[in-house]
Amino acid sequence: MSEQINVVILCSWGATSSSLAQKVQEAAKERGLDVVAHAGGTGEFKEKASTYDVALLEPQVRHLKKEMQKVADNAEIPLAMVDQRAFALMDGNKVLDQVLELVK
Amino acid sequence: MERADDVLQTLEAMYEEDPESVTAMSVAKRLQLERSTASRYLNELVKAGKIEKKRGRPVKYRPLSEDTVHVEPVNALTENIPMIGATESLEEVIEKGLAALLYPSSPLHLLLSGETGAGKSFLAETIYDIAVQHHNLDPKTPFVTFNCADYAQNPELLVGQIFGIKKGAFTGATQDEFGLVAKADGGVLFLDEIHRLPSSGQEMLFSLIDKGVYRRLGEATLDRHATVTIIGATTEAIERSLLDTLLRRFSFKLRIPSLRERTVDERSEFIHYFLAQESHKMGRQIALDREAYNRFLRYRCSGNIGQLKSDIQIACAQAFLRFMNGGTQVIVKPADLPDYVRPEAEDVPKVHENTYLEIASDVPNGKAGNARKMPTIYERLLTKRDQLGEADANELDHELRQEVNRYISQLVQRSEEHLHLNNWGQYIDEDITATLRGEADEIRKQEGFDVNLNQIFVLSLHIQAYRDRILSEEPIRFFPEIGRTEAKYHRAAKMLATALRDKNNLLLPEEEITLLAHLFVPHSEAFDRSASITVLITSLGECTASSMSDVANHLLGSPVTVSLDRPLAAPVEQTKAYLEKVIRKQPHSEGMLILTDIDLPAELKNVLTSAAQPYKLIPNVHLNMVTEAGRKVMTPHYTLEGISEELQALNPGEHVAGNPSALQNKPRFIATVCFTGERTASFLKHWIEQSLSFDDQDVVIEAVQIDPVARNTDRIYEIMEVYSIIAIVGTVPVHVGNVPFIPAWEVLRDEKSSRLYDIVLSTRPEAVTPAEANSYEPVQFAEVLDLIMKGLSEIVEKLDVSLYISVLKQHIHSLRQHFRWDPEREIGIMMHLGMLTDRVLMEQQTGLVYTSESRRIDIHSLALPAGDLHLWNLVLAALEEANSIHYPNDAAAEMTALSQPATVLEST
Repeated sequence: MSEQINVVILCSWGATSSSLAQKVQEAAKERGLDVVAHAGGTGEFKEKASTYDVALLEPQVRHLKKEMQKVADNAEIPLAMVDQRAFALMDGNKVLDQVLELVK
Repeated sequence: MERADDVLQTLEAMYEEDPESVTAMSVAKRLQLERSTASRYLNELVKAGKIEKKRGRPVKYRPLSEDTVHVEPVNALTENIPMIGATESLEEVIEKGLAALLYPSSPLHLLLSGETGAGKSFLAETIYDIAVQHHNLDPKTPFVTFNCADYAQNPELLVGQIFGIKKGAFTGATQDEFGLVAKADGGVLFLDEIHRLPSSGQEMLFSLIDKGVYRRLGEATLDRHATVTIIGATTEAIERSLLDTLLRRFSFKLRIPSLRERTVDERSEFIHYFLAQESHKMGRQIALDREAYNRFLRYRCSGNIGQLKSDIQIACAQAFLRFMNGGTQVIVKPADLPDYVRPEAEDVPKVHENTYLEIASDVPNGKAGNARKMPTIYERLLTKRDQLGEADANELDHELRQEVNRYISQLVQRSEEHLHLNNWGQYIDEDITATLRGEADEIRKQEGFDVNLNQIFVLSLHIQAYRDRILSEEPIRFFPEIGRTEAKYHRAAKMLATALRDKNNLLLPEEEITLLAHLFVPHSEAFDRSASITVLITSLGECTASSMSDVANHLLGSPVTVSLDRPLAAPVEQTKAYLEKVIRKQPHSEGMLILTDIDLPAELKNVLTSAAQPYKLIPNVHLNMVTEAGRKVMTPHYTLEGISEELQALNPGEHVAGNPSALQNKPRFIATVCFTGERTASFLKHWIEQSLSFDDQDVVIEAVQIDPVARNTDRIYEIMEVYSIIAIVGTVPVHVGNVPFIPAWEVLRDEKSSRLYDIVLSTRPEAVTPAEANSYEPVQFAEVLDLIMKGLSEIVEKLDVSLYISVLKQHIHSLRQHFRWDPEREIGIMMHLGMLTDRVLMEQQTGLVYTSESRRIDIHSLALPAGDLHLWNLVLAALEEANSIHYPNDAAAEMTALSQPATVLEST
């Protein structure tokens, strides 16, 4: 777990993902983990997917999951829905756990 | 009783001078009588029905002329144009409208919004008239009106109509054509349904407003100049879907209240005005029976002013017919009114018990009426009588009656189309619909049976599919032998085929015509909308119940629900009396389903218990419950018990139960059906596939052919062995076991309000827990708001989170019912809205503009459901009020786009 982990959190228009990314970033800093949390829209993810190690999708864009999964598969990175409860609570720690679980 | 006549005359004279001055005292004074003597005469006159007492002290009197309200014909434009509501609901609108019009050199542009039929075009015309009459606007100033909906099927031509066409711009443009802009130069261009303009047209309009330049269709440069005041009109929910750039160019955006929101006095003025127009058309006085007047005043007129007008026209035509058959004057009686024109229970505060219309004699004929020199219905009737002068009385009567019936059906059809079927163009080419409509009229005349709107739709759909197939040059496959229908249907099909050949260049083979004939056979069973269970909506408040009922009836296209408002101020006795009346009016009812906000007071319950019909009371009424109830009672096999159980399941905290467990084992299946199993059915299959959401990808859809005679198919039974058929959708009603049949038009009209949508949702197999979330509990609806309250508090800067949550609480139920999202989706959307609100607050408080991330989606390019937009507009308005903020114009569109179930959001 020495390499840097780049995680991207996707929502439709960037309204909430940047806040959540920030929360994840803070959690990682506290735990001394080398994680960089990005926020982005689903549109630009298509071009930049391969620059990340893992992607999380926010609930409001769940209907795009199928499409995003394809993009992620092409880029060979794992993609999952952000845990709903953690998202609702803006719980950076839990989301960070999820990230670590996914890149294992 | 000469003395009494004296008293009456004096009273009338005094009333003329000052209506407020007529008391027993003043009459006595004038006639030099004792007050008690005068009082006695007055009471006699009241008893004789010649005068009446007004409420209040001292008692005032007013004269009554017989039992009717008279409306004089008007022959010339008078100086005073009554602007109905000018001092009430519309004052602001008119003031601003005038301001806009009176500066033609530097025009101010005006955008009117309001419900269908609220009178937007009427208002625009009236403002113009006032400007001419009272404000020295040159009467030669052009005023050009145009309804963009007329060309909505052909956006290019629409733009061409407005801006003009250059020769050769497209095939068929054989010469240069002036546009309406050129015609309106220096004056006013009124564009109704302006939202129908394609964005290219909106951009051109924007240049015109902004720089005074435009170009004709097909011209390369903007070098034509015109100074035009634009008055645009649009329906409320759509205002936000105009281009922002254009929207900003309208100096005034004015909302026209619906008829519902107008005062009773205003409504009475409208009645009077429209009567006077009719009176003018027939050239004689019209008298309006008092009961008829009351009905016009109080019935629920969901089509707004436009409908009020056509209902009055219908009544006048009927009355005129009676007059022609030997009446001495034209009297509109209750029997002349369309059936639905009767007061409903929601009019609890019957304030106008004692008011009657004054004689109005100076209402001009409407401008629209002047524009075209079409013979009026009255002229047509008179001409007809002259033509048939020799015929015997019976035949004459019959002929005239037919003329009136035709007139009525035209009026009704016009308003129905307006209300329900504005969007056929999405699926069916206009030329086909046009031919169908024309032929429907012919068939009615020649064959004597009606082709209803649903049949027209089904036929159009079928023909469209046939044409598409020919155009795509796909081979026509084996075509089954089908039986003949009754001769008249076959003749109708032949007429249609001939018209299609002549007008649409479409040649139908013989077996196709036989098939069409089957589509003319009415299937009353499938479309029977008469309900044997009464749905009564009741709620505290002036109009909460009636507006819910209105919307539901509108959505269902049929007046299946009735309502009872319970204004806080209304005494229980009054409400009770109205409830009794409602019950009496539903004698055929097998039961009453009463949807209420809170439990009813004991007095009302007693009324219900003593009624002959059984009833069920369901609390916590909301719009979706109302629509649901209406939809269910229209389905014949439902019982009162059954419906009430299902409706109760809609209440908060209780999940809509998944369907029978038997469904779990077999995959879900939807059969689309038509006579050929190919055209319409495969069109429907495709359509449904497109609209299924991500979570319903397991549903198998197959087009199935239905035997036209047996109206059944073995194929369905074969399928049932393997699949669980959750619905049959199509143009031919098919009933197999308990499988619900859903007519095609219902699915195509509006996915959301279709039963299919509900069926698909309720049969969804238990959601598979997403693998990634399995270590955590899925969120329940009950927790959502608490969770996001905590979450938002973590991240917002300015938002008062508890205020935000409290506003959401008021709306969450309708949102859930409307969108049917799950808790996870809801969390996403509510978090998004919270952040959006926070941004807006920050911008407003700091004056800084936060550049939001570039939008991936062009909201304007999406067809957003008006119902969704409307709901979000309501929620946003509530949040705006609570937070004293303004969302950006497209916020509702943004939220709507985000709430869509299927994949419409896919990035461009």
